[in-house]
Amino acid sequence: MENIKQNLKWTCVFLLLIIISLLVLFIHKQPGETAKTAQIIQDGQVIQTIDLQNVKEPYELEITAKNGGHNTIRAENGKIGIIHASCPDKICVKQGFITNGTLPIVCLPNKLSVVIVNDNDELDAVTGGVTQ
Amino acid sequence: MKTKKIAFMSVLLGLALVIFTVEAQIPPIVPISGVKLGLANVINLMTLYMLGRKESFTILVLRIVLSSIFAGNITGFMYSLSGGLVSFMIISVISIFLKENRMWAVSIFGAIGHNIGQIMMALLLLKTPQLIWYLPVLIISAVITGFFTGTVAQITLKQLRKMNYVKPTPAEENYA
Repeated sequence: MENIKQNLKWTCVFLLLIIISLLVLFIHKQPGETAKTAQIIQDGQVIQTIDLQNVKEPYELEITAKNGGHNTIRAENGKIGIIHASCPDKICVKQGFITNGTLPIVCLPNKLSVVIVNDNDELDAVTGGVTQ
Repeated sequence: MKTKKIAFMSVLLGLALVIFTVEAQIPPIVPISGVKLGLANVINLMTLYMLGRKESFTILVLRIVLSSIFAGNITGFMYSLSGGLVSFMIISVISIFLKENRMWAVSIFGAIGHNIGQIMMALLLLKTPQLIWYLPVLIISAVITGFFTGTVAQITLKQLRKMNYVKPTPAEENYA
């Protein structure tokens, strides 16, 4: 009986943790649908900024990492994604295209990330990138 | 007794390496960096409860170093090590309070620690503060994967004790 009670207690703790995490994600997702600017960040430096609303024709960029690896990024109207990567697991490719800033695309081996920022917090993100 | 223990730890290390290598062959089901079952932690958790902290730490570090050499993956090494160390610190403290019948909970805390360690390493290497938004996603994933690996460890250890493969050790006295 004591055993079941203890298990139940810990189950509640972990369920609460999941709910808090989901809430954080949900709140973070809210202000998503305004202007969209994508930043391509390599080693903490913003190497390219793309206004996703002004992309008329989809285009691709080749990014070469310091370790010799490379990624191909494809920008389309309102979305951006990595379509090819030199790393073995290709998680960044499988992550597909992102349309909002909820979860950035990241390629850990090539130290590359693709982040979408909103106009209102864009300033913070840019200065954050420069100070580093 | 000492030889027996060294042999036993070698078997555990071998098991951890095999589990790690086999798991690495399975393509990621969820396409998010850092989301992984982490089955090799079953061995770490079992070692912690069978032999103790020092032994668990030894097997953990050896497994990470050797598996990275086998896979030839330096990036993987950095993330495994940061995750493994944070995870080890957390479970070695929590295992003081939670006994063998609560290994599943200890495992979840360990998995959360592992993912926190990995995010800290990612923030350090990529210098992209937005990566912190991976934290809630990875915490959810850690609760699920940690529960699974912890339950596997708990059931396996229970059976081993039942069959008298694993006799109570000095470390065991703390949990009696």
